[in-house]
Amino acid sequence: MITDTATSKPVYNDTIVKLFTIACVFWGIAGFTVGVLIAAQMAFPQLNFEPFLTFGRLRPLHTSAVIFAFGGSALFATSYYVVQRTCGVRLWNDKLALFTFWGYQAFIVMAGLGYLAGVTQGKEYAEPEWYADLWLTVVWVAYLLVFLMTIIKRKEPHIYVANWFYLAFIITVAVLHLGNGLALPVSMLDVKSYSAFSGVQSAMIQWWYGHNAVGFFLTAGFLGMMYYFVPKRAERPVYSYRLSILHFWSLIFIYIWAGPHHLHYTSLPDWAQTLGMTFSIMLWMPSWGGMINGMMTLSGAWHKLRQDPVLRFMIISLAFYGMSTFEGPLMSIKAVNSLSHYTDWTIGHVHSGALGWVGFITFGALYYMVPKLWGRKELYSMKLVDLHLWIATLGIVLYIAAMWVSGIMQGLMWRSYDDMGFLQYSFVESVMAMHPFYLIRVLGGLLYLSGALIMAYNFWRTIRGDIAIKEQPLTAQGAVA
Amino acid sequence: MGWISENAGMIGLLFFFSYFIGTALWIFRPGSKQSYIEKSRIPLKEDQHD
Repeated sequence: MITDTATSKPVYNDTIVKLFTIACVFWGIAGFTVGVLIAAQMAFPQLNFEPFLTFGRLRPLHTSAVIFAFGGSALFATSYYVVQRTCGVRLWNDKLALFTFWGYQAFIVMAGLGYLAGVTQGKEYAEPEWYADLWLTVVWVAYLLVFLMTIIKRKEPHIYVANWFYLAFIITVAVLHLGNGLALPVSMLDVKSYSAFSGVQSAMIQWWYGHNAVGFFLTAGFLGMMYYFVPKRAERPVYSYRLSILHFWSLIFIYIWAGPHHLHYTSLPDWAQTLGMTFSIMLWMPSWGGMINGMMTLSGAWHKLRQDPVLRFMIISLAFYGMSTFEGPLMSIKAVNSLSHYTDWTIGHVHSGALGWVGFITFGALYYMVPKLWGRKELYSMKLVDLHLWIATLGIVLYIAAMWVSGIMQGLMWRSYDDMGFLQYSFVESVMAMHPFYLIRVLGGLLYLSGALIMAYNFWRTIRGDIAIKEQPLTAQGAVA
Repeated sequence: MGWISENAGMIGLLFFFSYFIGTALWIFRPGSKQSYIEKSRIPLKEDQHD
């Protein structure tokens, strides 16, 4: 904490940011590890240990750990960091802020233990049962209160655009969670509940929720991060503030309609499928507008990319954001979807967004925040940041390239007919053909996990106050922040 | 009320669409350029006490 009580400058609540930062690194490593394990289970089914460590139970543990535990803690940490600094005031209500930390961690543990025990609602990305859902609602309302009250008592007249994105994320996730989570428990002492919806309505509400978990949790929230940390690290204002406003309104107006593309060629009415596809294609515009806005922030200062690996993390994350938001609308086109749906291509697409965009913008923000939060001049080692960057990038490329090949091959094998009109391949033949790509995916995941471990070590040394001796000249040269 | 509920889809579409077009026009209103440049500098301002 560099702020000074002797002056009139605001003293921020950075304790809460530190707590969420540590939780973010911890859950990241935990979530990536489970990811590597389940990737290995796909390649070697013998690695399923019944009943607790089977793929069916570990898969939601992995997705929840990386999205809600790692991503969620990153969003809490950075939103609390950004809102205080762009509003020029201390975070509202220390006690309630601390409650959001312990409350959210309790939710993660509650949900995770449930999955291992086989307790699930069976809704993708909304697996926690009713008791965990109710608890999360309480925590989320507290989060909204802390964030909103800080904005209300701000000293800066204008609400900076990063806070718009964070606020849209908090409010929309609350609406989605309440809508999709409506369920009736079997009894007050039973973990099992039944959804208020059934049939195709249930499917549509689930994917209204599911796709907007991507759009508002994994996109809007992390765009808030981008709009603060890219300008800070580049020491330049965002390329166009007007474009950021257009980006905001077009993104939130369009994303909410894209969900039906998850239900192509199902019993969902055809008009709803076409609507979902159309809105998904329209999303190209705000997505690329936002990517260009982030990247062009470096306009006239591209040399900084050469000197600063932290900035490289942020810009590569925007490149992955652009790539995966190009791929997503492409896959939402019904003709393409008839090939890609239910195949590994979908898994590859999700991971180019999750590992590339969400992961890298988070690493960039963490590398920026950690020295500042613990009052250090710089990170322990910039060379280790660079090593993390390249190991993780290589891991992502291996992962998504393997899934493209495997997914398209899988889709083509499923639709191949012989001269007599019989299916050319049995299902198990397609699984056997995918084995080499499953191995490449494990390797990609291992590299990504290794990168995160290097980051954790770098943070540990930074927090202790160490500076790598060999790097004194490099840190002096690369001290852009 | 009957008319509103029967035409809710069209009313919603027109409301949100005109809101969006209105925003797009509003941010390009003459003389606003400087104010947006200042707003974009908000994160950089707090450097003095960071």
